[in-house]
Amino acid sequence: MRPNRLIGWYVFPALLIGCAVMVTVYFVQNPGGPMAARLLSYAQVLTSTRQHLILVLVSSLLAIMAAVPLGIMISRPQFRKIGIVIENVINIAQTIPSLAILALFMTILGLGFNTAIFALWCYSLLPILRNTFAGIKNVPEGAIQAAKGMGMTPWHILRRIELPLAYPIVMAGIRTAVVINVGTATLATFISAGGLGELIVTGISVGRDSLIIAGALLSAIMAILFDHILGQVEAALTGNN
Amino acid sequence: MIKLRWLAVAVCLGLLIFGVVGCGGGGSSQNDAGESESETVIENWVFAADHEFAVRPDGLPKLEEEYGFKFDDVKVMDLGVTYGALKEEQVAVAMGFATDGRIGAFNLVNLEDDKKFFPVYNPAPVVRKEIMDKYPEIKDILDPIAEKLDTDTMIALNGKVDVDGMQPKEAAEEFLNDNGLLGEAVEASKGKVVVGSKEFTEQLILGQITILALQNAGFEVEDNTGLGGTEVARSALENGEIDMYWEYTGTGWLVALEHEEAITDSDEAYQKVKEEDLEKNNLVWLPYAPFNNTYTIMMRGVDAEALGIKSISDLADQINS
Amino acid sequence: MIKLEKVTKVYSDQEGPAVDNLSMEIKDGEVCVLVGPSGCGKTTTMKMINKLEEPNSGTIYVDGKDISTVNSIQLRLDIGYVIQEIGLFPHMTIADNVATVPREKKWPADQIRHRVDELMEMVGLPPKIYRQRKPADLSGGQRQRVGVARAMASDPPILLMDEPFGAVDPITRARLQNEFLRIQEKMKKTIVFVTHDIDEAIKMGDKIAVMRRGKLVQYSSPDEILSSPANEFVSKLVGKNRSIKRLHLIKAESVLDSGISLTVKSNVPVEEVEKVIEASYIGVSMVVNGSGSLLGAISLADIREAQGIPTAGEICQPIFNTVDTGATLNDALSVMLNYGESFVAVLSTGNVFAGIITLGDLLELVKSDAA
Repeated sequence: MRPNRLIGWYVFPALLIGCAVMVTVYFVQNPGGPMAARLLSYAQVLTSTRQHLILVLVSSLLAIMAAVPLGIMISRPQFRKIGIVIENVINIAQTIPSLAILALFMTILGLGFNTAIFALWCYSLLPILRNTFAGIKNVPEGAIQAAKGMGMTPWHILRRIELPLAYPIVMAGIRTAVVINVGTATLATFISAGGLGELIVTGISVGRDSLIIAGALLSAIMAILFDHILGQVEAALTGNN
Repeated sequence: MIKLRWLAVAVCLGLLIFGVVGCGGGGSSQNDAGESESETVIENWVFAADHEFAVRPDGLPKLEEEYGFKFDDVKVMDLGVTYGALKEEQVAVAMGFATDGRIGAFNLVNLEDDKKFFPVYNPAPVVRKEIMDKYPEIKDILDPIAEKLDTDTMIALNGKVDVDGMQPKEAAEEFLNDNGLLGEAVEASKGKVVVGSKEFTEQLILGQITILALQNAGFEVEDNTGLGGTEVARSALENGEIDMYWEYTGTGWLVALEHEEAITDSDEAYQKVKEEDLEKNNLVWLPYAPFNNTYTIMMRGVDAEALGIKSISDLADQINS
Repeated sequence: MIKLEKVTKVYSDQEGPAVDNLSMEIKDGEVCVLVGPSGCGKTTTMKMINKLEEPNSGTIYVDGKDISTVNSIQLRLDIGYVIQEIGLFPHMTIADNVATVPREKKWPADQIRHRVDELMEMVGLPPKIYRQRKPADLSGGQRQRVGVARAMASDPPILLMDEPFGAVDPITRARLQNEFLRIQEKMKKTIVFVTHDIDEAIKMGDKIAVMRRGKLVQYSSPDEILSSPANEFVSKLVGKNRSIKRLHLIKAESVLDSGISLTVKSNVPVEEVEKVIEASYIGVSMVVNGSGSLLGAISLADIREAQGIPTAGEICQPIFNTVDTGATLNDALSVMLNYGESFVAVLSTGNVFAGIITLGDLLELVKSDAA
């Protein structure tokens, strides 16, 4: 258990961050021409990465804060019918392309960070909400019946039975949402919210592959890192480490 | 149960920390630009550019070098949203296209490119020589129209379509009537000409203006506007599928005639492209319109007025002072 | 005491009432089995007792109190509940599962731990081994035991059991039933037991309530159900071989033959054993040690094979066709059939040999009953 933990929490993330550093160093040293070099400086890559990280973290955390309680709420027996309606509405909303969401909210909220956060937040809601709802819905009826029959209060049933049993599915939703978020956040640069998309989009518009690859690699590493850390958190909290 | 409590605490803490960091980090630069604007003393000269312009050696770096100044910060975004960013005071200066309808609608102004930095893109009707020989009066019909099409006019026309939701044809009609460019309508007695255009607002309007003017002068006109990009319109013209469309001198020079170096003087560009295209492709460039659909550097009208900035040189002086 | 008075339950999405004007009384310390085909209303009846379902009309009294006036959480905390398919919490350890109700009642941690260990001992799951395991690590039978232990955690006077031994194989089931009856003998809980298996009902119940379409068809002792079914429905439910079913009702200890004549001590010489075997009506001699524990049996063949060995203890072979004194004759019969023997040895606690029951004895009983 100990060495596993060490690897899970420190070694693997350190390796990923090492990879990211290597990617950065490589591309800053070999930007492939002066045009790409303007963006491939340590300061610029760091800024972009930091912006990207903040975009993903803030929007994901806000989405978790909103979607998990909402998912729990619509899974209550008295709300289940409404829940299915809400789920479908968000399901349909999710089919709107993320770029369109950005554009849509840009006209309402203006440009920049907040709009990007809001769009990313909207986009992460569904996977988390859907999984929270599904996770709780899938808790074995027998367990709930037994808990109820033994005199557990509804609050305790939720906290001690439903949530722990739904937890892996909820967590899977969060992981999905965060990983998607890392990808979608590359679009934030279109509305001046920065992020690694700045490297990628610039690379595309001036035809410099080094920029595209650097941006794509860094965001891929970030996605893997997030997924891994969330997996660790999940394992630690269920005690299956 | 204890585990869940920890999860809740962790989530709340995380949210708090990242919320603070996030808003602090992400919001600060906007506020800097925004707050300082209220007194029209711009402290932070933040520039909105698209991804390409920001890094191209012949883009922003060269502009700054040429005029001898440097923006405090550059915000990179999609070219379509720079107008909004400028209007919302998230930046002090922005780049865009000189005839975009939003310039008028958002009360923005173009700064004069007094050092002739940007390549010129004046539009002119390009007509197949065969048609010109057959109907030389086309020149007389289109010349006065081209003359009237200055940048402000074109901005207004684009604005009517893009911002106010007018049809290109309605905007064209209004323009012709307002300027008294339609004489007595003549019975359709002359031959048939095919008018094309590329597929964006400005081109559609120019196409409609041409169609209306020619119809008024007694031509039978086939409307073949909205042909997609430069390549499509150009090859349609060369193949005789259309008889004329409005092309920009810069585009003709760089794309159609495949030159590498852009020209930054309107007259020079026009003369060169006119001669070469006639010689090589039997295409006649009629006199060009004064508006120049090139990259532009824009400011909010109020700021420009308050600071007395009319040209990019004025801007450079202001930033350097 | 549990009393139902003209209780009716109607589900809006069902035709006809699930429970129809039902009145019955369950005495303290009694096992009342609700039996009937699926959909007869037996589970609904049980769920109304702990207010998992509310009756549309009628009154239910628990300990003299109308339960509609009692807080349902409080009511349930004092009624043990064992559910169909067990309903253990898969994410919790066995100890945590058993501790559910004491935790809800906010017992101190020490007391909970103590009680959990005690219960796990009681149902035959050594706490040292099983405390930290998850339900998925257990066999079906073990899970059922945890379910029972969990229901008894806070020592409630009443237990509701909804097909508690439904999901295991017949042999494990018989064992769990016997264990449970043994525990019940000591605990004397008031138990409402739901099953669709008439054999289980006959075996477990002090009283059997046969239900059909929400109505009580017959409510009497197992013996009466077998001997005088109220109508055709009950006799069909009981089936043709009623006399064999009565074997469920008779405990092994009540008919066993002490078998003194065919028992020898382990230290007797072989020659003496030979005589005993010849006289024995089952063809073997049972061997016990000084304290009466059964060591095994000796047949004539064993003696012939083992030339020159002096005492009985050294040549006896272990036997497996045994039952506990608490087992029913039906259990004894299954063991005989299982091992192809014509007798079983009956053992009381500590493997002490209590006697034997032969196939002949069972035949006698069935015949006399039929007559």
